[in-house]
Amino acid sequence: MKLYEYQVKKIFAQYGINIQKGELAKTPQEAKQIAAAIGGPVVLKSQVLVGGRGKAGGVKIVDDLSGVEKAADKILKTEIKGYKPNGILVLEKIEIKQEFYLSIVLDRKMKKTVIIFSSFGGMDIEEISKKHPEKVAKIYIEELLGLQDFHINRLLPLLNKDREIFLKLKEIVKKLYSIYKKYDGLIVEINPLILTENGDLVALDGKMEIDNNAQYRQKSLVDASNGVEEDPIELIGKQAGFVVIKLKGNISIISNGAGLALSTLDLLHKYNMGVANILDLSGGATPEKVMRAIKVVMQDKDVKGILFNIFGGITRCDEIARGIAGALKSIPENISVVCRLQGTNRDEGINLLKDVNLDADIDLEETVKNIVSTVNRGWRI
Amino acid sequence: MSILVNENTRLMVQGITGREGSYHASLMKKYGTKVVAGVTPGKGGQEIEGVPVFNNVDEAVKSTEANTSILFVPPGFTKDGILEAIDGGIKLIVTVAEGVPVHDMIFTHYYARLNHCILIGPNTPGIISPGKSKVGFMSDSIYKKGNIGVMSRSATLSYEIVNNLSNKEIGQSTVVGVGGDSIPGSSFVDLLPLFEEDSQTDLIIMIGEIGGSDEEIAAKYIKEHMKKPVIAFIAGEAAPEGKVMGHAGAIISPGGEGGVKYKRKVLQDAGVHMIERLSEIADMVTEIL
Repeated sequence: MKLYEYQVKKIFAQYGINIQKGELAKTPQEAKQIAAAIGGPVVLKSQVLVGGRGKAGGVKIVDDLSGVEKAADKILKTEIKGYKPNGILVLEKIEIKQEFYLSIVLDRKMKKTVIIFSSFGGMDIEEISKKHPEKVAKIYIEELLGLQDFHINRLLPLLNKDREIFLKLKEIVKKLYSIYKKYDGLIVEINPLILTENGDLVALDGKMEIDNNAQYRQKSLVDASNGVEEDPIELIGKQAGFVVIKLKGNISIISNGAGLALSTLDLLHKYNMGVANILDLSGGATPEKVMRAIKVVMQDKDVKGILFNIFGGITRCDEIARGIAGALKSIPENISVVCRLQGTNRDEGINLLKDVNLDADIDLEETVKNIVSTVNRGWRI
Repeated sequence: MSILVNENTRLMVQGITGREGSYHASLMKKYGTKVVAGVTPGKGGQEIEGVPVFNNVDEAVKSTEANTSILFVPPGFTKDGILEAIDGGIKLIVTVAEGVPVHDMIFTHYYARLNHCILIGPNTPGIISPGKSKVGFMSDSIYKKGNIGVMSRSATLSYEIVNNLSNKEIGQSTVVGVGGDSIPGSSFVDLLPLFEEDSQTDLIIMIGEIGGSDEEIAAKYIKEHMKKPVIAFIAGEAAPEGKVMGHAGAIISPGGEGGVKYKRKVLQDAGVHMIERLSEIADMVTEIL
């Protein structure tokens, strides 16, 4: 889960990392008041979770405070890559002497935490690494060891051995590492971290993504970001207790496992059939749960066919079949329904479906061919 | 032989008094697994499904000589449970819960390693050596004893593959779920040497999927060290970038890292036999052996 810049900066401030003066505004009027309190030139920054907002018109420097309200109004109305801004951060404009890059990232491949620092900042790290590889340091940290001073000392050469700046940087790295650990970070990034004319290091931007698995112990952050970026169907699914993945196409895959659903998607793709959504029933679904799942995917207007792919283990095929039979009447006849049942109580399940005139196959490829032809025909029976 | 679990497995079930814990303790026992102890803090002294329950791992290990543990505990308690088991001297731990925080998993991964303990999971159905022992919750009727080693990131795809094999009378030595999370306790590369050494295993099937680099790391090991043939299947070629596809670990990074094409290529270059459809597995095995 990604956090907004204003959330990240609030955390930075709590840990004593310098940030600019300023606050979050939800309306142009609020932006005007905050700017007035700052009393000098300001920067307005759209609060969205996607990158590239500068190029998309989401960041504006306003030197004359009489222009704040109008500029803020425009930014609030500007969608960035399809996302509406969740407010504007109104910040004091600050003079930059030098820009750095600093992040702490969980490296999945190495199973380690890595500190990335560069004496070039302001552009994204891939670009810096390409243009100035010699200016980028990556320091891996053994998990059982944790961050130590010697790790940070390795950044000294990149600072032209300027000890004064280095000591300040050291403090920031330590604080950022504490934040990363405390908030279950996958990435915590300051880009740019700037050096001001009077020698302070200030976080001009802040990015953070936290581990979804840790949401239960990061409740305050989760509540504050209130699922604004989620797809409506995914949200409906979540509220009904399912993981739903919204994709592009017309088939809904209802399956009892993530891997099985994923390989079903692949197989449909081989037959040039797009998938509208995937719903994972997970293990041990009851008929009621199946009916609830059907209700969820039916709310996706793209759906023209539903493909059940069930490999019964803990899940029993007869239970699944009861759910499908129970919900069948509520599914319009121009929506195809095909089922593949395999594993625990397969034959009972197939017989139950026969009673409601639905053929179930035990072979996945046959099932896929079946839905491709019925959807193309546009009629269930 | 077989790997990880066998007749000598003496299993402890952490969280045995819970609904899932007690249910699967009874199923594992029925399969023939020696379930010797259960652990639930504060509930020691009783018996569940004929298994004595202890307050902590130390007591359980002292009284029963348990050497393997399976955890049926919620994600938030998993780290503590794993560390207690390692501290108690357990050398093989299976953790089934989905949704364990990755920072917890990184720490337990290294702590397990430090103590020469093998950690399997999270988000796994467990391990089964057909005919000998099952440490997990998979539906055991589809498995057959034989000479094929299987390891999979997805539970349902391992069932699918095993079912295809068993239907053609091709049995399995051990089937291991490495789990669907982004930081598994053990990865493919940790299991490959065990299968290579195992006298019962003649061929290894690896069921991977999009996300991460575990297949690529395995490919390098296969190329350099494996003599036994390996077949691989990678799920998710139709998945879009930047979207978590059900498993927390199944995500292609923006820019294409973790995609199917590259994984396939690297594996192929390492001499791995690739199948593109699950239904091709039995024929491929027959062709190679």
